[in-house]
Amino acid sequence: MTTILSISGLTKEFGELRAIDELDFQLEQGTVHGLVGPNGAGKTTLLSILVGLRQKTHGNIQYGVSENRVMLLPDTPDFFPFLTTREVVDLARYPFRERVDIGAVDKVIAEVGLEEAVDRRVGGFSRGMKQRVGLATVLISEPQLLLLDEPCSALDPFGRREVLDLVSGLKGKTTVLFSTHILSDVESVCDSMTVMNKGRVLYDGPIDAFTNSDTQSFEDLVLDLLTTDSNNQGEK
Amino acid sequence: MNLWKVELFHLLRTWRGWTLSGVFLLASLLAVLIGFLIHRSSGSSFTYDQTLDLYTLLAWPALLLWIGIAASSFAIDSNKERSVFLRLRFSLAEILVSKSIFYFALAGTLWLAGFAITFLLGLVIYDGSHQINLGWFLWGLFFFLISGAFSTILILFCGALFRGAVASVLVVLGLNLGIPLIASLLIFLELLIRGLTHTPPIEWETVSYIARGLLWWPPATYDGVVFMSVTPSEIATDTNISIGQALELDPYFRMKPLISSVILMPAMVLFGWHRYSKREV
Repeated sequence: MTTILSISGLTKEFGELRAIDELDFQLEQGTVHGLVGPNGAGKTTLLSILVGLRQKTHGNIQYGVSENRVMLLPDTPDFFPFLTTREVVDLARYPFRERVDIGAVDKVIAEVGLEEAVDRRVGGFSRGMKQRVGLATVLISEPQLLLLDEPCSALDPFGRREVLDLVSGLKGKTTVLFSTHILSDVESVCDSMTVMNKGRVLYDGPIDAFTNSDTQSFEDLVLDLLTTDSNNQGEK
Repeated sequence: MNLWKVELFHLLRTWRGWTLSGVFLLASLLAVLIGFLIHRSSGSSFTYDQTLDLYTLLAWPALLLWIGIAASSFAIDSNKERSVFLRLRFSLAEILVSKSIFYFALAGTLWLAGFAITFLLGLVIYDGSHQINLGWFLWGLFFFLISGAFSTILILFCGALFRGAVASVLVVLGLNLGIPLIASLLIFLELLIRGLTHTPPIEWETVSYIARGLLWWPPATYDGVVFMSVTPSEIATDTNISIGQALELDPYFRMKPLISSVILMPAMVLFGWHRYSKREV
């Protein structure tokens, strides 16, 4: 398998606080990789650094693809309220207009289930609908590495299922780094995962290897790992 | 859809564009109306170029509104999520250049449209026997364009200083209104201290040290727009009469703020660019 993203010794400091602490991590092409951890684990900071919205303190990041094929969907996407869904997605297409045809706009909008809201202004949309528009804006750019920051956090169970199916459908075509704290989502769509706490990696590997237990559920295993780490940190 | 259209839709689909156009139109109509009232009360001959002078004064509120709208648009990072959307897809150069050109062109277009409406209405209603001198008009237009370019760059600069739209808007308005107001007060105090209170305002620029210093303040280039309505009779007397004030018809009038604008503009662009690009979202 080809490595699409390779991170070594990545550190991000905000004054005294180390949000990411000597992170080493690799991502294989075509996989859906979960990034799991509690609030403050450093997931969003990591994703922001990967797309250049924040600057690393030190460490190396190497991409196996062109950096303009890396796209991020933030956890609470927001758009110009005076534009319609079609206009927002078309604006997102504009920088990639040489490789993405205008016809793709409506196709992507249908893919995320917003056909009926195609000509409605996004200003009045619910968080869930904005999340779908957000998905459309990242999919239109045909990314090779897609970074999703808690994409299901604002969605109802049906919407969540649709997004998870959409992410599953990207397997093999696009590499997805999927940040979430909904553990069941990771178990259902991801091939591999990284568990983070306070900027450090606690586990990095396939889901199967992690759940190799008959007695404990996936969620219990993750929670145990995080609790043990937090206790160890407290003792230090 | 591209960034230019986004700016255009931002104006046309919200109150901003229509209000701004309305205020410029109002300035134009008020100039004609006030001209009419002056004409009726004084009984003297009122010429169309005097309505143009009134327009340059009455357009100030519209320009302040433009500053507010442009400054809030330049605060690209005030909404984190929209900032992420833009910054991930467009380079900072694309975002800032499109905004700068758009808002510079917008102010110029609306101001000149108001000027043209005033000109046409004035020509129809009042004495239009004097023609505006083209050479002086172009010189005045040059000052207007420099003033617009400086204001646009000042807005970009303040947008780089502050993440929030409110702070940016207030500082730009404060610089444009506050400095002349504070300077006027200080000039008065200076003249009071020096026992020169009898000095007519027209001579302040030569008598007061503070007024002389204020001449280097770049927005003072806007005063040069009075050249856009110079008539042959004014050229003959070498005096430009604008809203009751007689000024020497001097092409070097407001050369000092022109020099400071030319020096400050590239420095402000470089500083602004540096701040925008180093800012973490």
